[in-house]
Amino acid sequence: MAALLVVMPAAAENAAEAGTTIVGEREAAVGLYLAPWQDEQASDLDRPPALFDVPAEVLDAERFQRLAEYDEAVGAYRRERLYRSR
Amino acid sequence: MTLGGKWCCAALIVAGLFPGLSRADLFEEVMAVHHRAKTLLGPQRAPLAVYVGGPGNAWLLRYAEVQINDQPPVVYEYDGFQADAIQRGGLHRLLATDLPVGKHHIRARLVVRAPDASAATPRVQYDIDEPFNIGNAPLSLELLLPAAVGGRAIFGVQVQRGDGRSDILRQRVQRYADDAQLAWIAAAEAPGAMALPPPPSPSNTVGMFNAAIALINGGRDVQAVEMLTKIGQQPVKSPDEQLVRDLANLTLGYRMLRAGNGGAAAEALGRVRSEGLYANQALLGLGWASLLPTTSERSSARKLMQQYQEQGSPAAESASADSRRRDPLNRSWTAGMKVSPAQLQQALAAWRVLERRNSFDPIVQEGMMLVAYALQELGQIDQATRQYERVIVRLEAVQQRLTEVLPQVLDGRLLAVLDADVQSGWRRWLADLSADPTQGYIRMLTADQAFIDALEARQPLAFQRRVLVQDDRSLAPLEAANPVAANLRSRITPLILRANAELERSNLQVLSAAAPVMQSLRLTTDAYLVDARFALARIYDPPSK
Repeated sequence: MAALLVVMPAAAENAAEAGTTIVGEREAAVGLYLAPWQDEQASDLDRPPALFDVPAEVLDAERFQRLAEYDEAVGAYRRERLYRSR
Repeated sequence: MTLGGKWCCAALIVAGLFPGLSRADLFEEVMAVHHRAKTLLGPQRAPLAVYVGGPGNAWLLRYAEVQINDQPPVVYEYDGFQADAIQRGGLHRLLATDLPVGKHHIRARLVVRAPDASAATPRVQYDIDEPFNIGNAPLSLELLLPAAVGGRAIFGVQVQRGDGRSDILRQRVQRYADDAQLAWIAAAEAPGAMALPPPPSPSNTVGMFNAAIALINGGRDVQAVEMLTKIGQQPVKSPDEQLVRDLANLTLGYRMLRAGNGGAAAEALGRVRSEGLYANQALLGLGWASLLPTTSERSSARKLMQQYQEQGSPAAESASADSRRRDPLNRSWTAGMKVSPAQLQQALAAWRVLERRNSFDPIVQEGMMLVAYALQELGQIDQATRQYERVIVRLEAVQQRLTEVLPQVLDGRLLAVLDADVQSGWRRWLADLSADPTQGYIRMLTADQAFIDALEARQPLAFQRRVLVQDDRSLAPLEAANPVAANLRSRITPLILRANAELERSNLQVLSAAAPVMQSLRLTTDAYLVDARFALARIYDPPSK
């Protein structure tokens, strides 16, 4: 940074005037309009309700069969427990 | 070095000792050695084997407890597949033990129920209490359930004695193992079936569902909806057909949500079983469906999809994060729609059912937040505040529990739980544990295909290792006097090493499949917890307008 300041003394002199100076027609009324150039990005935190959707994915028949058997085992066990309690 | 790292190294070293021997080859080799050991050990012992079954009996066997003399009783609870296998004439070997020659005593209790019994139908219990003699030959005791007429047994349980060597007995034991989908046990029972058979062919319904998905992806929505409707209403025979039907209805329901047709969405989602794998997603969608207009006339699929194409997807709607937080329900499926208090109450009914379910499930966590959002929308700020507070407490408990169990899952203690319960047919660790609210992560693991694949691949590996260790122990006393036994043991030792390595590699695969599921649960819980805390803060300190 020091080297940069030595090479460009003029830039170093202007450093006191930090910021942007907008020079317009002095007779005209001064007005500045800032328009967003893109939508605000939704935050990952503090979200609104998520948009759950069912993915349109092809099933692997053999793996899905296994998944179904596990689901059936869990469901049947619960039903059996329910029967036992009566 | 981590546990996983150790397994990897061990697996690589031992795999180097057996170049070119696949898992299937290893299994066949183990079974060949096992049958040799059985033949060798047969005349040396006087073992007792107790079998349970019945010749095509009409009962579903649920529970069996067998005690020999004063030994600890063997207890077995039969799952649906196993109970069906016994009902079809299969025979389950419940107990095998060595006994000294002389007088002994068997006590057994069998609990059965009729296949068409309702929750209110009492079970039938049979108690057996009999002495028996054992000589120098093996003895088999078959506890045979009686036939039932009109839901009632006409005889008691019959105890049939034999030498355990008959072909009929062996065939029935193998049939049980085949029907109960325990192919590795079938291979150990009969020398003729040493290789693992290919899995049973899946139902055609999966193919139909895939065709519907191809139609969706190809932009032919009308035909896709028609096909999904057909799959979603057809009668089912097997668990996979049932689950495909649920998935078809779920997919159809969410397509209808996209089309803005609450009535059709609710109709499809209402057909999803309330306790199945997709029940929570269906309940979430049912709530949203209540917020959408219901078409009074039943529109055709074509009309619905045209409507969808004209409207575009609501997901494409964009609004600033701030406005979405101020009015959280005015997005997603209901973006830009006027929602009445009556519709909100209806949605709340579904979401309240959802939010009481497994708190580890991200869909349920979403439901918890939606209840609070809906209460806020209804102007019930006090109730909404209490709901957010409850959500925070529940999610903190989930967060804490995940912090506790994550190391247990990753360091292999989960596998120790699996191996500790080899006797019960219910895969009790997954069924029983997942019914416990503090173990809700188990249900999330068993809903993950990669985890189940790894777990299923592990079962025969764990079984073959148990068989080898057991044979090695039984042959050890014969080694000095019998050169054949010594030779067999010398074959068994390297096989145990290889079986250990394969099992350890498989353990690593199970844990690798579990890790992302657990990490994802942790992330979603953290995110919903932040959401709830922010939402509560906004109630206490509303943002200036």
